[in-house]
Parts: sequence; structure tokens; C-alpha cells
Amino acid sequence: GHAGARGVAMASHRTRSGGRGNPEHAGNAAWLATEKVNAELFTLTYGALVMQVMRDCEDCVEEVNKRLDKMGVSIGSRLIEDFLAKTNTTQRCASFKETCEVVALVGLKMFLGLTCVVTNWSLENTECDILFEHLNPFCEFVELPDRFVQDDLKYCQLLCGVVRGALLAIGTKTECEFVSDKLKGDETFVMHMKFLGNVEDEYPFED
Amino acid sequence: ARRARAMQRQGQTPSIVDRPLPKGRSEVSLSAFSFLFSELVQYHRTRASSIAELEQKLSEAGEGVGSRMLEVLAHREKSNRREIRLQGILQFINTNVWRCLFGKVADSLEIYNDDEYVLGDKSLVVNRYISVPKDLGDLNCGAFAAGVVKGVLRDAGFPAEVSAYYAEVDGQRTPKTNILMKFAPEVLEREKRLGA
Repeated sequence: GHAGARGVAMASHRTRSGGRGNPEHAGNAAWLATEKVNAELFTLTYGALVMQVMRDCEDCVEEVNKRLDKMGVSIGSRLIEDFLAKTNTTQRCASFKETCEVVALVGLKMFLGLTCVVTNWSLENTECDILFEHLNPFCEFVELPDRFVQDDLKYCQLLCGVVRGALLAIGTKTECEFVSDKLKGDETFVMHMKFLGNVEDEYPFED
Repeated sequence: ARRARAMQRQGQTPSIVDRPLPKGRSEVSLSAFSFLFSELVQYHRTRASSIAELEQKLSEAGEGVGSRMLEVLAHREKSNRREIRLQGILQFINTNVWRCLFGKVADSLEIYNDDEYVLGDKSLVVNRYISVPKDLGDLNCGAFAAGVVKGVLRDAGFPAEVSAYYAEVDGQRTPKTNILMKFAPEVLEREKRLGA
């Protein structure tokens, strides 16, 4: 009957896209299939954007960080549609763990060509780290002047906003921050993910 | 790279200019760039009080890109030899810059007047937009590309006013993007001195 048809549909979905259980394959396949442009066009355009925002915020680092984050959220809320369409996604992720794997292995791969690893899970599986091999699409050619390092300019904050905005659009609230930043002199880029709750679980404000 | 390693041996962190230059072959998805670019447009759109001002801001962003592209390409593709003749810098933009940024050489390069040249492209890759009204889309991309050209010309010593406009093409649905470069008098005077 209906359940049987759905079962067949899900089985063929798994065959076609490599299966829910293999986000790495899905990410690689989507990256191969997507139309691409020179990364330097992206890198230099992002740099130009940051410079213009800096100038408009009169070098106030706190304002710049907020603005980059906001722009990221705006992108994320639109990018999620593109993601769902391109990956033929029809089901919700079963857990925050699965969500983060999809973000790291599929999302970051298919849009930016990045190879990432999800690790350091907390006991309740509500927090983890995403390790980046590099963040060249954003940071190639970039070196921050000392005063911006001191004032804690979050050069790559746009990416955090994108992840948060995309997840929020599908009902998952998160915190997403770089806890290790090569532009600040750290060894690697590490993005920390924290699950805050599902939007539909929120207590309605009107009583 | 040798200097970078030497500095590391001495315990100093190599500065970014001592590290080897990337080869320029990495890629990102067109989607990623489109989203970034449309957000750039959106950012300026809310702050600009006119379309002209929006285009000016996009052109400025483009200048930043062009200026840096000149440095990277002169080093990577031209062994640091700089163009000193007008024809040379035009070919550099038409070929090297366009190929690096847009994956192909520009479609045409024509002379309009002594001081005016037009670079044409049937379909800039930046034109393929996501979720931005199509009527404004092309205009914005043109302004950005014009800025890239302006930045290259300015830093190469060929100051010019650069703007983008559209031309209908017979048998083609989408118009061609034309980038008009009007060179400052000192550029033409120098060309004459060097022997036109």
C-alpha cells in the first residue's frame, strides 16, 4: 500500500544519492556535479566586502563582526533551499550529530570544496568541533594587521552566520563560532558547533 | 619559499609575502560566489540612495579585486614584467585577468575613439544569479566588472573612467555586457611619446 510505495521511493533515494549513511560520498558527488568558478574571484570579492564594511563601520571591529554574521545568516537562509534541492534531500536529519556531519561533509564540500572532519563530541552529543584542512576560499592572501587581531576581528564570521542561518531555516537553533583561527595566529581553523534547541519546541510567546 | 623556510629555522613566523604564491587553480561552487555577490549587492542596496550610488559601491568593490589581481597575475603569469604600453595592458585584461576571474578570455576588444576602448563579453559568469531580481542583476555585475578593470588600469598606471552598459545582440536573447574605458589625457600623451 502507501507505506510500501514510500519504502520503495526511499530505497531508490538511497541508491541514487549514496544513502543517508554516507555524507562524504554525497558531498563529493555534489561537488563534482556543481558548476565552479575560480576560488580567487570568491576570495578577493570577500576581501573587498570586508574592507567596505570596515570602512562603513569606521573600523569598529565589534560592528564589523556583527555585520558579517548578519550577512552570513541572510545567505544561509537562502542557501538552504539550494542545498536541499541539489542534494535531493527529503528527510530531516535524525540527530544533531547527523546534522553536523551533513554540514561538514556535504555542505562545506559542495559549496566551498572544503574537506572537513567532525570531532570532539560532548557526552550528550550536543556540541562538537568541525576541523578544517584550510579555509583558503576566505583566507588566501589574507593577513590581519595586529590591531585587528587584538580587537578580535572575526574575518570569517560570515561562514558561521551561513551555517547558523541555514540550520535555523530548517528549525535547528545553534551557536557556531571559530574557536581556533589561523588569521589570529592559531595552528588551525576549528568551528565549534553547539545545539540550542529546535524551533518548534519553543514556548509560544502569546499566552 | 626559501626565505620562509629560513625564517622558520630562525624561529620567526614567515610573513604572508614570503610564502609561495598559490597557483590559482582552486575552485569554489558558482553558487557560493553568487550568494556572496548577491549579499554584497544587498548590503549596498540598503545603504545607497540611488542606483548610481549602488553601482559606484559595486565598482569600488571591483577595484579592490582588480588591484590585487594585477599583482598576483603580474607575478604568476608575467614574471613580474609590467605592461607599459596601452595595447599591452588591454591585452592583459582581455586575456589574463578575464581568464583568471571568469574562466575565459573576453569576447571582444574594440577601439571607439583615440581615448575610448570597449571590452565586450556575451555572458559574464557573475550574471548567473540566485534570488536577486533579474532586472537589476546584470547591471550590478557590469558595475563590478567595470570596477575590476578600473582597478587594474589604475594600478598599472593607465588611469581611466570605466563604466558598463548593455548592447542588444542580434540573434541573442541576453544583451552583451560592454565595458567602456575612457583614458586620461596623460595616458595618451605618454603613448605618443613612446611612439604610437
